[in-house]
Amino acid sequence: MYLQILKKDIKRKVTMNIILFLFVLLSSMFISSSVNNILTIADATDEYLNKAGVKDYLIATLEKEGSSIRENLEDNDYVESFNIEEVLYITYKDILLNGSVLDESDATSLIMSVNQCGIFLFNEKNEVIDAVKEKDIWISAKTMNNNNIKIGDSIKLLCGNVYYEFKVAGSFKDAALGAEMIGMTRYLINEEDYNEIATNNTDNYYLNGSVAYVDVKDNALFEKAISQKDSTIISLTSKDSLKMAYIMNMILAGVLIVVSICLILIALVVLKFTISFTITQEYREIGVMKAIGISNFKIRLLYLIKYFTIAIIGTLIGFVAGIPFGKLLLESVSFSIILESKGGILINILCSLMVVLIVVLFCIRCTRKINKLSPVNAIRNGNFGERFKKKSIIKLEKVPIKTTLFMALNDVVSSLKRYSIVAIAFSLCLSLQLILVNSRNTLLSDGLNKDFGFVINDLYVLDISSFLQLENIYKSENATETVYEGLEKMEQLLEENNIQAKCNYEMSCSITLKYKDNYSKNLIMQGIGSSTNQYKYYEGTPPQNDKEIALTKITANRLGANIGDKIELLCSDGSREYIVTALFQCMNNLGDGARVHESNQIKGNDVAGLLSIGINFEDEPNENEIDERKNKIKEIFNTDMVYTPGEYLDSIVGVAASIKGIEKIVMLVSVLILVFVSVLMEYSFIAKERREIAIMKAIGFKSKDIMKIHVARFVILIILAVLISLLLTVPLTEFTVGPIFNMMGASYGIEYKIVALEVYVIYPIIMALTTIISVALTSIAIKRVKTTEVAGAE
Amino acid sequence: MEKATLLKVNNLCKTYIVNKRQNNVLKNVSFEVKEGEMVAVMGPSGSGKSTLLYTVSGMDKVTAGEVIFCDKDITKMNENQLAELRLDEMGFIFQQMYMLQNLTVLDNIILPACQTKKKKESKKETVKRGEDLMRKLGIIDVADNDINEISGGQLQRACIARSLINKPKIIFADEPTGSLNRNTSEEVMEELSNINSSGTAIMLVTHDIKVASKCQRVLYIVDGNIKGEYKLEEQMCNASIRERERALNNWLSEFGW
Repeated sequence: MYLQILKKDIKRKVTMNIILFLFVLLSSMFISSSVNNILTIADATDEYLNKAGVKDYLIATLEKEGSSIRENLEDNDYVESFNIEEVLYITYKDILLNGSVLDESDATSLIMSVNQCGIFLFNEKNEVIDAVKEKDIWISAKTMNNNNIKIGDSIKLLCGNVYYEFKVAGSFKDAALGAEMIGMTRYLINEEDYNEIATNNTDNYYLNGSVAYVDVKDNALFEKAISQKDSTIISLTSKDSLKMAYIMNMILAGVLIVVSICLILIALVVLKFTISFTITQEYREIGVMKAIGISNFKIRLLYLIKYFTIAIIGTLIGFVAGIPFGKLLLESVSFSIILESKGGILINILCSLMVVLIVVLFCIRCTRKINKLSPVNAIRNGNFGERFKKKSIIKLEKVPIKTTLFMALNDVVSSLKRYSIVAIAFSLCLSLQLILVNSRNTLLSDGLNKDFGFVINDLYVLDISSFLQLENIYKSENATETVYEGLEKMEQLLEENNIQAKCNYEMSCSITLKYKDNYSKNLIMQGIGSSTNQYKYYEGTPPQNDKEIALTKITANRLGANIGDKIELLCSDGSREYIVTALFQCMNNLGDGARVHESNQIKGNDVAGLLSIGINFEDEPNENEIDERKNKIKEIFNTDMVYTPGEYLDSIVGVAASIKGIEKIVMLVSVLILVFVSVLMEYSFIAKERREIAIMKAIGFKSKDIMKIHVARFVILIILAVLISLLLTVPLTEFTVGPIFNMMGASYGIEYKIVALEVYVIYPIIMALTTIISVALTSIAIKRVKTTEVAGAE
Repeated sequence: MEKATLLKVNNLCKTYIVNKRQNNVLKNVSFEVKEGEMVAVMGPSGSGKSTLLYTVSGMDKVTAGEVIFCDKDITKMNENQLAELRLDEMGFIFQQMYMLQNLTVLDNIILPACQTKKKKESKKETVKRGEDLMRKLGIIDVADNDINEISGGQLQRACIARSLINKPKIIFADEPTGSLNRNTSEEVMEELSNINSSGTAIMLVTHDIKVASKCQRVLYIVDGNIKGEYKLEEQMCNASIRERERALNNWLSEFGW
């Protein structure tokens, strides 16, 4: 008999059963894929660095065969172990892709032999690369991606005066240099090919170098010892800093976690609603069964069997669909790092079982009321919809609005709990989208340049080698003057082309800072052609002469120094004393850094990096004119690397495009969720309110009027949800993305850029329209409700 | 003076297909309802009484035949025209006191008046009319109550008030006293008689001889056919209610009632 009742029930309440089935399916799909992704992403960076064999420190030097660094490391008491890889340094100007200079590249490129590799590099299948064929070249995934390099492309490397041609054979994941924020990249070639280039360039001091990977006993003592001794180090990067360099990948991963949590929340909230809603629909039958003497236990068991069956079938399909869905989300962050699914299928199975358990528990909880109900109450609750709680909150007679709008508003305020599910789902989807939009816009905003330690210019030229020869600067006794000369040449050339502009250059030097007994190897920045007053400081006053220095908050904390303290710079030509006058933040070097006055004299030996030349037009042109001049400057200097402030920042941070990619996925997922939630909930409402719809039709309401009421309910909820989301957009962005910016070095926080058109208009409208159209189309089912159904629902 | 015909039904047929089997519920039914008339439809269970009520009121579609209401064939009207007709010209009372749950009693009553485009009056005037109707039906005290806070009798009176709010030409009532006790039934029928006296036609379906005896005419329907018509008003014009009931009972017994 049980089976008979069940069969009849499933046939008769086909709509509600399908709705429940779909929600179970979606919940299972979202929860299993999301939990798996969270577990995978949570400690992905640690796992990746360990798997690649990255040690405590990465040290890059300009010396041949690392002879000096080898001795230095062997003499260092705090070193546990190390390995050194021989490399050849070239700049992006020396690399031709299919005959053209790379579109976008890192400042320094390392060429190395596969046999010398100090860490493990992984191919697309996450297998270690241990061999490279002759004349083949393997390129880091980030460089492949940034320059749109494809397998089979031709790459020419200029070493000395000779071009060496290679064929791109594949891309690899590089744990040490593969992060977007690391300004170096690696090209992997065959041992013989490498030896040929190296032999031909033995005497080229600026080409040869080495990279050391070092495990140490004590980080602070090791840093102090190595900073005091070795002046040939280009960069000294700790494993923690390398991890931090993956912050951009982690922003994307973090976004995925937020997406996953939202999906789980939506799934659980909607599931609970559907189960309690469908059980309420069963009250009449429950009452009849109670009346004819079937025990409470048996009645509850009947419904448990029904929901268990739906849950099993739903989760089974959800489990299968969850695997590709999870992979789709992970793919957006896994192209440049290894993300290995932690729990694999087991997690998906466990999550699916959890969904079944949740359905059964919800069912047990919802059917508990059966025990307390008398048969008559059960019948009435199911059939007459009688309640013992006042529901009519607002009165038609007192509200001066149209009847349809009143009915919708009254329905919403009368059953706020029921309708809140729609508002919650909408708010979550919209908030998630807005967090991404705000993050992307902030990362592309001009203002953020100042927090990256740059002065805001009209344009930035990255291709600077025509005016500033790297070799000349390195050899120069006074690098500052050499740079000034280059800038003057550039200004002259611009003037010849009728462009009145002042140029500046951001020079960075790798110098050890000392305060009392604390040492810190740091990048010291000096604006040449710009004034220290043009930069942003959070405490104190800008350095006014060559005896003053500003420190980032993080560097100041590391040294234990503060404004007014005297610190030493251990330059290659001796120690110099500076007074700390200001504190600032710099996200360009994960928070580390210092800034000296423009009059400061620096020896070429200390210069570490070349950034860009800034151009400021003297006639204050508008945006369109700047755009035109940008193209003209591209022609004058024969380069594509001319950027606006936002574009320049993006070329450094390089995550806005990935965030945009995630935005698209989240938008798609959000739209799908909203379509599902709104369609299924509207169907539930129509199924539940068939009799009310019939009554309204009987007393003269047209179908379109009732459809208007149903759509208006969702419009009211959406307006509410949009208001909540918009009020929360800035705090939520700060809460979710703020910690990531802090890790990048924003000790004082940053100013978020809210693009009103996107945040307040475009995205809310897209999502609102999606929901409203879905509901409007679903509400067409109201037409099928007959007035005669006034005598009995479904 | 002969009253004008308000509702004229010609050869009305209604067929349901259940499990591929044709079920002819109404077979060539023809009858008329005059303006201001009160007609009862009686018959055994399953005879097609409610179907007749729903089809002639435009709530259900007919299979064949004509239903002329105010000189218009409602079988040729579309859904929107029928909805307008139900809103402005017809009132409905059901056995179960169906009302919208989220509205107060007064709001339920004035809802059709707020929805109609025919009558141009302010909301204040509509509310006043609703309250007047409630006062007349003795339920003004429960105007602001929820529908679950009032008794069955009060609820049915509220349904009557709702059916009257747009001053319909006819009220269709399906077992209006079916779920009420005897006293409340009598009160509700009293109200319906008063409404009818004021000129509104009523067509009701009932099993109750007491209820039917208050009507001017009774149609007896069996297996989808009108088997007989008893003109109570003509034949028992000045008779007491008990005599009317007895006479009706005798007439019905001829059909095996």
